[in-house]
Amino acid sequence: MANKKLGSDNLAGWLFVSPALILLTLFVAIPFGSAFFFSLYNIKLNSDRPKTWMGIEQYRRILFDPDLSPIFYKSLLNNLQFALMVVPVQTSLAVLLAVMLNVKLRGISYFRVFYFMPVVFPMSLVAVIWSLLYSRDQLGIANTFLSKLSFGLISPVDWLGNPKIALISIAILSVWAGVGFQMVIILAGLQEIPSELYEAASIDKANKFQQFRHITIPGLRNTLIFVVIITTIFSLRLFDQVYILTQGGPLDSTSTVMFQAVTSAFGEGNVGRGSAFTVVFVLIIIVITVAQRFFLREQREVK
Amino acid sequence: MKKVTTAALAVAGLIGSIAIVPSAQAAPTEITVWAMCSEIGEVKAVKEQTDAFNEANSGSINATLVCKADMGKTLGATPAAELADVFEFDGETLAFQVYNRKLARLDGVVSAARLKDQLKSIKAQNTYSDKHVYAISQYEAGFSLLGNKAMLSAAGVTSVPKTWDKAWTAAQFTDVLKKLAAKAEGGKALDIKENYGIGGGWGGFAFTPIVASAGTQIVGANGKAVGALNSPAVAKAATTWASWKQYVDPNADDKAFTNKRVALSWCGHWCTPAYKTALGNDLIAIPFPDFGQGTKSGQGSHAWAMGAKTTGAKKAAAAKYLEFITTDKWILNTTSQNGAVPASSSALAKSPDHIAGGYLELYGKQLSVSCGGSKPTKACVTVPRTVSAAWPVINTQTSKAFAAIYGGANAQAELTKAAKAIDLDAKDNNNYK
Repeated sequence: MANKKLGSDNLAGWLFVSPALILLTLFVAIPFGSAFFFSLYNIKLNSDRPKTWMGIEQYRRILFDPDLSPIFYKSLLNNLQFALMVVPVQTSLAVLLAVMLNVKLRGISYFRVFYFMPVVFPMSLVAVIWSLLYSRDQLGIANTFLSKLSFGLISPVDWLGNPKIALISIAILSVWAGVGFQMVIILAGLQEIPSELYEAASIDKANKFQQFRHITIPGLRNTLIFVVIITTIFSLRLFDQVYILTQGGPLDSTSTVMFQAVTSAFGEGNVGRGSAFTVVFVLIIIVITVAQRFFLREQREVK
Repeated sequence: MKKVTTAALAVAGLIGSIAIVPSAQAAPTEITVWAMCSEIGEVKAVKEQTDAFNEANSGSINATLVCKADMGKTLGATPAAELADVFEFDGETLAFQVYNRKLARLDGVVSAARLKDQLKSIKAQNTYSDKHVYAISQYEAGFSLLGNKAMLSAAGVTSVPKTWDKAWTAAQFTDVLKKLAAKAEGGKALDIKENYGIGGGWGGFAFTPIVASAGTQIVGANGKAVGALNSPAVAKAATTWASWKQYVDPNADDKAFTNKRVALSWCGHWCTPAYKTALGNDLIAIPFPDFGQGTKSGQGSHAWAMGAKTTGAKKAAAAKYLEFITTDKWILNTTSQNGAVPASSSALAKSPDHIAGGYLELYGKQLSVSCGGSKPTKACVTVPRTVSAAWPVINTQTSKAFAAIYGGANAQAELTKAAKAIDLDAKDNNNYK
């Protein structure tokens, strides 16, 4: 019977795991515990004033108060809508790009670099540049492009000021900025698929599309699961673009939970409320991630 | 021979040891100076004054200048013990900073004459409810419409108000915008600095004068925002303001006014240097439209303070720096580069742009009839931002409300939401006693 406690035979195991455990404790467990602690008080950011006890009042306000809870639920809804838009689109696009770039042409690495470059730029920089693209008058680059394309038929669109499309606009720029990251991971996954499978398939007269469906996608299964899960987690963290481009507007259509948490804590100095937002949100993310892992079980057997 | 050698060695050793002994002068007192570096003119001015200060005090004081991109966030995230000895900050948050014990008292530390010479509105901004002075300013805000004279007359707008008592009414202003938009190539007439992000704090400074113009303060005399901020007159005024969106240039490149796409710009003194370079003598200052109780404008600008935990020699050095930069010479050096109104009466009298006949004469005239902390009337113009530790919350909530109203939301509902949030925050913090 294996002895699970710390013994000389699994000491090495514990030692190997300890750096990760220490980092997780320092950067995840302790901050989360602190956030929960702060959420029980009324604390002003970096003030000498003593904190006052509020108990679960912050949570009651976020979840049940008729005046204050709508913004939380709207932000949560926006987060989920954003994730549902970005995850499938970004993953599909990444697969497409990776398949296209998985050829042995001379100079293909330049294309890989160009598609990866948006990932390197800080999101705030990307947002500032896209604010010029999304300007709502006819001088905005996107509007000029549409106008030229349609010979003047399409009038200028208020990309960031129209509550129906503001979130979609932000989703488009997020996909553009992030697809390179997924592409690189999937590219690595593609190169793991043995080329004999493709050779065998072409001998059997399978066309490219059939090869894609029956060899590439199953071969990428583990990679895709990983990519979907991390893209979901990243997309739920949406903040930079909203802070710079729309500040949660128009009509709260782009407000996200992280945006509410940061503006409460650092804009209004209300650390207790900001912490309560983050605690609730982390619990929701854990539920979503566990559910994803349950439904998308990776294949472990060696074929 | 031996005697002479010994004596020579002894003398040489004595001279040598005197040379090696460090000089009796102490090392210069090191102080840190944090400045708000957003406008190019201001960055240059603060560098010039710090270099001049170090030269004037070379050997005894050395001030190190650090530029901060977002001073509000920096102050919020830094505990008092780690603050710089001297720093510049947005005076609207003075009550909030004092409440959080970050500022040192200046009365008794900085020369009384210098503090007395500050403009009345600035003294009001920099004095806390405990009657002590916590900051000193180089300049006061100038805030009004800025207009392109040539474009206005080309569009047939004949009566352009030059003094605050002749301001356009909101209805007249709508007509002016219609005329300008009809003549302009892009069909736009006004720039309200939409690119600053109305919901991110700009709304709380730029458009809260509309609240005063509708006849009320943000927080009423009874200490509640509900009943003041969300009164029907304010909702009506905000709705009118939002209806002008069709004439507003989104200003993504921040060049709508300088590239002559629009004839009017809703911007403050920090815009005037670039505007003057682009428009020359065509640049004029016009009072904001009147929503019922007379034209209203904002007041209050950056201020300089001392860190609460600065003591001893550093404190004396910091006081010297503050006195140095508030001499007429250095005030005018800054205001000539950023267009703001000099904060001391003696400097104001020497500023050509701001005295009678100068193109920014309106700024000084508006400030001289400040509404102070009382309910706004037709006879006063500039309104201070609410002097209270609750200002960050008030600013965030009013900015959000204006941004939502601009985006088409119901003005009454948004203002009520904001007012309730402000009152709730005051209740949580025991009215910031």
